[in-house]
Amino acid sequence: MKKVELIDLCRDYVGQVDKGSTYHPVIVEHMLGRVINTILYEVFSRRVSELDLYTKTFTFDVDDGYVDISSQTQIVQFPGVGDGVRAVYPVENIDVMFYPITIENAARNASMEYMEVDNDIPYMVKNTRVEFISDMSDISQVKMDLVRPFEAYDDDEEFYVPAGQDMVMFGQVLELLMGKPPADLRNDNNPNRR
Amino acid sequence: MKGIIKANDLVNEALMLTRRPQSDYGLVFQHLVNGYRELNTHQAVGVKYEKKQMDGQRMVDYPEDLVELKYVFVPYHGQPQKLTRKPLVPTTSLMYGERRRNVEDGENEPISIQTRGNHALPHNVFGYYMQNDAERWIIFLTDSRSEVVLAYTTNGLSADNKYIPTAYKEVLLNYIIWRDAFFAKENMNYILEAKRTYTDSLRELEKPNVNYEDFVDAWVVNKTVGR
Repeated sequence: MKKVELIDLCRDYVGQVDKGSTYHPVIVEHMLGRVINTILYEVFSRRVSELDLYTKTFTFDVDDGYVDISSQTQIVQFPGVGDGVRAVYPVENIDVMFYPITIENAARNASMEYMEVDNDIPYMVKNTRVEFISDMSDISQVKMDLVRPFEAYDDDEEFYVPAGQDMVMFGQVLELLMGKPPADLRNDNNPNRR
Repeated sequence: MKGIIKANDLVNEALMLTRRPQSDYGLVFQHLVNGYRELNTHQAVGVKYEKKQMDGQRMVDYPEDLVELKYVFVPYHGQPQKLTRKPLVPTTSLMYGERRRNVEDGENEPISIQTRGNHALPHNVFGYYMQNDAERWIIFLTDSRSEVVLAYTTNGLSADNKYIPTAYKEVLLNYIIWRDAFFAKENMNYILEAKRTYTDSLRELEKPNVNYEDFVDAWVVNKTVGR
């Protein structure tokens, strides 16, 4: 289902139950985002490698040994090293592999024997930056498979609700929205009177 | 499918078989480096040979990947003639950053190469050597040869050699699983089972590879099998 359709469906569903209430699409989008985050965690936290359906490939320029993800999109936090960065690979035809490591291991790696044998490149994910540990002078661009939050999807982009979670998702969105007071539509400069 | 496999391909295979995330790549690679060295050093799956030219002071530096020096030989009529170790007086030192030997006495006393006749001495005519593991060099005492061949066990992997014979694949995979379970403090049964699997595969690797002709040759010509 397209993202915009999912939001409309949610608004319609919530409006039927919570009679008379209307919610701005952006509010519904953010609430859906929170619920989807929770559902993805519950479904995939033990099967992180099966998140392929929720990844999208982006191409980034490598600048001074790092990539700034926020220039194009956002990523989710997720259990496992690398978080929302599921894979990194070079755009050019270079025989090199990237793998995620933690900051703790990055410090140790420099003195490990295998680093003398191996040319592959470890990377760390720090907030919106992906930092590469080894020399990146031969690599000017990388492709990344990223898992993004629901809010970062385009309106007409497909979003797949995890199997069996549809009703859970609508129920939780309804629960979040029904506790929210209605919008203040009176032009009386008084936030306490609606 | 080849007779030789790249080290990082073997690491990726180990990750896939053990269902580990890619973030464990470095950890598994280090297990592989350790396992291959273990195999080379203690299981004697192979000895590496390297020809070396002595420097002006009759010394040779260890190759970078040398773990243990097995023996030193010079070729003589197509056969390896082993040199023997001799405990020399170590007078080699560094002076102003340069390596020096005391040529007057101790290490550089010349020896006779007279091996026949009434005055023959029980010398190894080809020379003696003394190895210094701490400084990683070999000092030679010879007047007749300046080129020697070192036979040594190797680290296995290095920046120049990233390949492993496929015959060792099973042993190395089992080594990785065993050591990883041990360090991860898995339950005792699993660790022991992993170790047993490793030693079983090691035994498979050590099956003697000697044929009938080798035996006949050893018996008749008095050669050492496998040399």
